[in-house]
Amino acid sequence: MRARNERYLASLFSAAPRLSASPRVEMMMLTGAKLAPSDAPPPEFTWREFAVFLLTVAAEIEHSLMVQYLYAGWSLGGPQVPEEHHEAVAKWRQIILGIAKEEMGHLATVQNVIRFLGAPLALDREDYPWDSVLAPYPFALERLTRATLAKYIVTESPETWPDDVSVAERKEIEKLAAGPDKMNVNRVGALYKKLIELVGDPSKLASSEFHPESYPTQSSWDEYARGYGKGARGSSVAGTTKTPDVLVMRAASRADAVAALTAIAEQGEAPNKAAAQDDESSHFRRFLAIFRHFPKDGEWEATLPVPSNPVAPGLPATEGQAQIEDAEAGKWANVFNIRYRMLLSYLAHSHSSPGEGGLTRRQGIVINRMFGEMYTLRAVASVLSRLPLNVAGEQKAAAPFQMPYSLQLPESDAAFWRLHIDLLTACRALLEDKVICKGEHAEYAATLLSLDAKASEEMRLYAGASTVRTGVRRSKEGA
Amino acid sequence: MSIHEIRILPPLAIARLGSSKEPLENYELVVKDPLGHRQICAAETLRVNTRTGEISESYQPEMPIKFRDGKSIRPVAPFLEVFARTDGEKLVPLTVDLLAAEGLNPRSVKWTVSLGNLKAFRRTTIEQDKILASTSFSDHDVHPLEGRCDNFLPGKTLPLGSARYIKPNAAFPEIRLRYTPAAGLVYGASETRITADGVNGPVTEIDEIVKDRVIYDPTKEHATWRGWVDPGEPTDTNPGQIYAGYANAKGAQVSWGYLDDECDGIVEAEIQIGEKKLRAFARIGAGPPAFAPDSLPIRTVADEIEQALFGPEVRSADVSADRVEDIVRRAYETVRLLNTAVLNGNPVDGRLGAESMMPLQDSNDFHRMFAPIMATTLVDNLSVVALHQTILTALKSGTPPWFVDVLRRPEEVGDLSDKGRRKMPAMMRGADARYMTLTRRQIDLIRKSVASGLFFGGSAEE
Amino acid sequence: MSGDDAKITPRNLAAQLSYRGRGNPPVTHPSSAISNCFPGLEFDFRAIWRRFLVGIVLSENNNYVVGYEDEKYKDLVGHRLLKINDRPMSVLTQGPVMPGRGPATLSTGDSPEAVSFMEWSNTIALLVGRQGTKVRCEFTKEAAKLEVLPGNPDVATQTLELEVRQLFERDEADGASERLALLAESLAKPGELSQGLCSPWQNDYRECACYYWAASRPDYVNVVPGGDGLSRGDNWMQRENTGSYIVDNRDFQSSLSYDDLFKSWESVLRFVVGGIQEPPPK
Repeated sequence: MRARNERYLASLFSAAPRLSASPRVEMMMLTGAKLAPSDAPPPEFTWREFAVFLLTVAAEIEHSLMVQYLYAGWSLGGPQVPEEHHEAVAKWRQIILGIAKEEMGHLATVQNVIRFLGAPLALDREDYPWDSVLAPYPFALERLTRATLAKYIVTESPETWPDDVSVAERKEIEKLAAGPDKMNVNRVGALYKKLIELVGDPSKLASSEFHPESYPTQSSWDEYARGYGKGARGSSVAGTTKTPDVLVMRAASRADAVAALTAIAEQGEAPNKAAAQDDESSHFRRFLAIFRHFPKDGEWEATLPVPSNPVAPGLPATEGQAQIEDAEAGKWANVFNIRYRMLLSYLAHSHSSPGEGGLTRRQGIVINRMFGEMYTLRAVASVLSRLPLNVAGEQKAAAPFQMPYSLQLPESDAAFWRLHIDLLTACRALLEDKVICKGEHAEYAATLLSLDAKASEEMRLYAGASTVRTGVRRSKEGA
Repeated sequence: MSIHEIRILPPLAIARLGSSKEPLENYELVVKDPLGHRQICAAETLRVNTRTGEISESYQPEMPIKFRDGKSIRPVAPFLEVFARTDGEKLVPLTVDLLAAEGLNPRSVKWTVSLGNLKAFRRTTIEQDKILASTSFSDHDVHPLEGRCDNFLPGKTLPLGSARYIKPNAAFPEIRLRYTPAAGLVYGASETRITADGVNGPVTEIDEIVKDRVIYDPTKEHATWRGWVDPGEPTDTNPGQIYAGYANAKGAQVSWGYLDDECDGIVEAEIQIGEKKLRAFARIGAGPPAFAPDSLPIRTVADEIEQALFGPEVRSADVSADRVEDIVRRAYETVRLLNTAVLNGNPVDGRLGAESMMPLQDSNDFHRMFAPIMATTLVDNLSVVALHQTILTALKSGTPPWFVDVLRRPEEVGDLSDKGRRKMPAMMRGADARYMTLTRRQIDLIRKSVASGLFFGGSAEE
Repeated sequence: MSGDDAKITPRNLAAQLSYRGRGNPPVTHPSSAISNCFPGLEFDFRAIWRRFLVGIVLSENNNYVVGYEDEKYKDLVGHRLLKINDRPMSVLTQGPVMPGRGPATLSTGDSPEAVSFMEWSNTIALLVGRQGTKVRCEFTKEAAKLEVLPGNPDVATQTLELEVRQLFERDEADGASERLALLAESLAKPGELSQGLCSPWQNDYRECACYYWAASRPDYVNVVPGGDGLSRGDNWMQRENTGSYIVDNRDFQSSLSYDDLFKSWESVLRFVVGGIQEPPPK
């Protein structure tokens, strides 16, 4: 959350929530509007803008959660994992990455509701670590540990914890989650509760505030979910597992918007007793199941030795960050950041309105490129995890996920393509650097260069001209 | 060194039809650009002297390889080599010297080739419709394989190619046979054919296709192939009615009695060493050419044999990133040649279901609601190819495959939900007529490679 | 591959399987032959599994008993094999019948029980370890022309113990019993691996569209990107390269006809290398 946003939050709530010892405080802040006369929006806001503001916060939180879960998931593995635990660790990784995928679905759904309200996309977020009164806990990129798991569990916990969690176990989880600073961990559900109430209330948001015509450019399950979903649990037979699908919902009506927000809220928390007993349904249950089997300190290591909040070479690392100093790893960290930016650019592009160039017809290209970048990010993260963080060599490098300087979005379709080409060009310079092209992962770099060259060639066609090449023969490869 | 056993390698060889006099030369498929096409590179080719039956030379063919001579396609004519298991547990090519050590000579090897074309018989189940060819020899002449059938006209046969025992010489002393398939001609049962059931009875025309190659006699007592209609029984072929003919008034396919010169069968080699008779065999078949020779199918006969031989699970030691990449590459090579938008069931120029494709089969076979498989915006060939290229690229990083969960499991073939149909491989048909699955062994390989990528150093990889 | 025979030892079955033979191009090897046979191109390879249970002959494409090789199983002909060692041979078919609705059981007149048979190959793979031993086979009690869903309590069944055939030849020389990389002779007689293919094979190129075997029978060729983000290219079966894909709806003015293929397949079907179709031969 941009620091400038905090003043609105400050004006909304009198308490400084994080400092409070009460776990219920955040409920009060989010229902704070209730304390004020319910027919007036907070100062400086209309109800519509307030809804957009809260959605923007929700988007930032979902975005941050997704990235954190990706980082945590990717940290699992490494040669130090004893063979008897290989299966369990692989399964955990799959579960955490499955949850990350669901967060991506949440993020897409929130963007859909934002578009439905006629507001611009909200893809921005702070670099790690960062904190806000509305964030569930200070966001950080951390390897998976019992403590991080405990934070995830509390964040996604239902109001009433299920019976099978003993008092002692809950205490342990809450203590681990609070950490040495005994901070308060907020629940994401409360934010959605407020949003649902607002979007569902015609006296605050008239139907004329909605933009059903944005429906075609909203992301859809058909585009996102593919064959994933239930399978993310490693099931071999369809219909035997209750894990929810990756959820991407679109909104063309008030009821759709409420349903979408409700579904997101429920996918995190276990909404009812049945779900609270089921290890496969909610994020809460899935994290809890891993927590119960996760090795305690000193037993064995489930994760690679990766730092918290790694950053690519550049400005000196700030407090809580770890600078990637190894030359080769540093370059790959730069590559990672560019590819991350590319992913966000494709995502934004996929939501932009169809222009004269007929974006809808190119939707497939944009969305598949976006998915392609997800694979590339995974691959580059894997490269980083095999390179040292610094000369000491004990720690490994990892994905920095640093935000670009700007998320100002291009105004035309052609400008979007030029941005994509620019990013590919910037990446090429890195991949051709001798540190990389003579390094351990040269073959991958060369293949990525070849992939990008093909992509650039096509994109120039889209960016440059309305002319369509119609020739049936093109020059033979390699000839 | 004595001979304990003989074997023929390769154990299964495929010949491919073509009418050129020159057989297809040898090449290798080499992956140079990981995202490009396999390069076709010259490889050792053996030239057979047509007069003597000896190998006159080994040479590297000129590139690009010639798949045809004018309008004639070069047939693929495989060699089959005899190997001998000798003392010291070795499997070595059987040579003139090895034979001599047993007091034998090349003439001591007796070859028998037995081929069949049972396509008519498979439908009619009448014994007299079996077309079989068999010949035995120990010389080096070309031995035509004449398919004989009780229901053929007197003196008529179906040429199924020829076999030749290659004459060993000093440079090429090994014992081998070459099978050359037929030209790829269509044979028939009449000089005329019915094209439709008209209002005033059947419409008949001169059959220009087969009038010079009528070999089947439909007037024989047990000859039903001409005029045959699949009865719609569970014993029918599946798919059914897949023979040349016309649709009668009821819409049923009526056979013209056409026959082709494809076949499959067995090649045997025998030698007698003292009291002991050693026998080996291999299977051969003759099918159509592979028309995209730089691409390989995603699921092949080799995958089936490997699975039957080694089981559904891969040993950890046999798991490698290269083998996973090979499967993905083959998927990529298939996708590249598909109009994925059309096969997805997208409307084409406003028309729905214009071409045969899996969504249409779902409706046809199970009355599923007709709907495209994937989001229609995502499936143009360009975007699907780009996505597969990205997957191939990402695998090069050493990251473990992440797509195990989207692979269709064999037990999921009845799942025609949106999600079920989007599993991989997508849009293609399997041997059970439903969406294709990989072999269990292929799936297991991909599954196991996750571990080797995730716990690198902790597995057989590297 | 060729020239790689140094690694060939009597027991290295993988090496024997991958051996191509000196001078043989890659298209002679089984790795070039498709096996998602419906019915197939080089072989209808499903036929290799018809005799995997000693004494009976099954349909290549489902669980229908079509014949017997042992008198004692004569009465099984016309019955269906539902389960082996309690594992079903087919599954229920489900899918939506209306937009926005969940999956329903897809019954039709031809298949009232909505049965999808699972191909033999991946079923037999699970029995590889049982070769030469008996397995429990559950058949329908009565003849069953229509497909039956395994486990249907209304269908009377009978269970027999049958032996899983040795799928590969064994070398019995010198008292040893060693497996060869050679599919058993008893599995298929000459002609049986191609008997289920189209007659003539050209019908397949006409009728079975490209969702089977694009790497052998291409569909979309000469593909280039268009400025609208969509590809342009030709249908492999269209008469002229126009750069505009012609849907193959059997319009023989624009696409190759059956007779074109029967008569002159060698000149009308063109090789595709690097995605580009060779020019028409002269």
